[in-house]
Amino acid sequence: MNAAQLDENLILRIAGGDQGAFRELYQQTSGAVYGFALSILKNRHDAEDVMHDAYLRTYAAAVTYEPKGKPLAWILTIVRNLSYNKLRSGRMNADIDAYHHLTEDGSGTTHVTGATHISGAVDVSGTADDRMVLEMAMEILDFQERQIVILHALTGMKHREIGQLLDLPTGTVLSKYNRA
Amino acid sequence: MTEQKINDSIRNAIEDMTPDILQQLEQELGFEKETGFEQGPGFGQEPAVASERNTRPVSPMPRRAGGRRRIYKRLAAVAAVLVLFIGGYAALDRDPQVCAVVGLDVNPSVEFSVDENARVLSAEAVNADGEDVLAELDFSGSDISVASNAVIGVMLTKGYLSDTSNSVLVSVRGADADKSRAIEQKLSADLNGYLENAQISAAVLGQYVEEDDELVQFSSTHEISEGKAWLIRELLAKNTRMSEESLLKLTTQELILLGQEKGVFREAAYGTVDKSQYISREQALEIGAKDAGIEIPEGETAEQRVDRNSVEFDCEDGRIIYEVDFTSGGMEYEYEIDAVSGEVITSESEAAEAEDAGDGDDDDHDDDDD
Repeated sequence: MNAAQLDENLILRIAGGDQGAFRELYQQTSGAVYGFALSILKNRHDAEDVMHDAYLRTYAAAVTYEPKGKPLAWILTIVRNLSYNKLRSGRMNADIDAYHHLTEDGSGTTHVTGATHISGAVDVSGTADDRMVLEMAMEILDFQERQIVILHALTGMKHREIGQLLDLPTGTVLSKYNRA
Repeated sequence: MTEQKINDSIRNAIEDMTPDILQQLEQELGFEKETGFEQGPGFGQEPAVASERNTRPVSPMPRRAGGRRRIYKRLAAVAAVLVLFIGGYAALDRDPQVCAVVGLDVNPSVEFSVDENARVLSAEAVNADGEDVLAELDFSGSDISVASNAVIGVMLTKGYLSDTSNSVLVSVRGADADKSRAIEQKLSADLNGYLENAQISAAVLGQYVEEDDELVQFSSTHEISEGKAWLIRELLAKNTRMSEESLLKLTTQELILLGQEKGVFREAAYGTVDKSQYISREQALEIGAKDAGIEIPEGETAEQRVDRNSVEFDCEDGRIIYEVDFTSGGMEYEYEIDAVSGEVITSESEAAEAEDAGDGDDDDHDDDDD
């Protein structure tokens, strides 16, 4: 899903009660929403919880959306806030397959102790390679780098836009992206 | 690997992993199933064909516990009382397609004509505020729930619905009582669900209305919706002390408040009218009791110091009052107290009649001659 393609009219139509628009919005954005949440939470159950809440909130808040030409950023901001809330509250789902313990040091990077693969991953034939690449990315990259890389891969957002979403200066985004 | 390939891999992997929760969301949001209720032309496009992303078959999602209501604080806490107005026109002298008329009253009043599949055929504003609300929306062919959500959404945005102004009157008028009631039940639930998700404490009240020429006449003479007219008539039938004149001065919300008080609403009901601007019943009783010279020691309530009491919302000369009745010391008191200010408007008292003293205060010595 290319960020530029998302039509903000969808949100306006949702505000008007158009159920079809909501479905379409979902189809076009679910990957980005889920991926972004996953990049923050590193846990599939949590990411799914956030995704669920984010869409409900999007539906309810559509009436407050002011057209500025950045519908995807608006939605992803909702996702970001919900994800951070979940992080802070510590209500992470214990996972059957793997246990993640996220700690933060002073610099803000997040270290992963314990198992480092993405919990709950289901191996679907044909995409094992892709999955490996993703897992590697999740493993090597730090907290911010993960978000940046996934946002870029899933949405095609420009570095400046990503910076705005993540509250980072564009320069930081660029350098982190290049390092990643 | 090139950057592009890495990006592609990441994207493919995530999109493959993304669970499909659309069905679950639709259920929680109270959407119509796609089969049988298509969006009409001009109101919505067909949902996007499943892209490469979602080629996996939809796996049945575990249903989340019903208690999983999410509260959304983005919108100001707005309470809305929705009373659903779905009317059914007799096909005789109206457009034969029209099966029912759905009216929504907040301050703005709008009415929808719907067909037998509960799809909107036309929408009309009953007052100027209603026009303001309808101006931006086009409903033709959409389901009544969708249209109603849209209207409520606009009212929220424009501030017609707020913490204090939180009542919406919906009336069902139809020749086919069962069908009308069924539509009304469903629409009540849908609107209630929609508002709950948006963190609105809404009271949704339904009233079934019978078609009546006199009603139509009355409503156009006074420029109010048929639902409101019907509610006024119901209130008049319940309590002859309320005058038509007085009731016509009330807002929709005040009418609904009285309607709830007097037991007018028999249909689906959710929530309550916001009463934050009124003093409490206990306070009203206390004011009356003190005015009657009854002492209420610290730490006790007026209720404890009187023998019987009844405190009810009522209406006098266009304002909401409490009608406070109580007996004490062989005397019967009746007060009208302004529900907002607590001011005593009228008071009456007389000796309690012998038959009335049913609470053990049957002491003959206390009977006075008038």
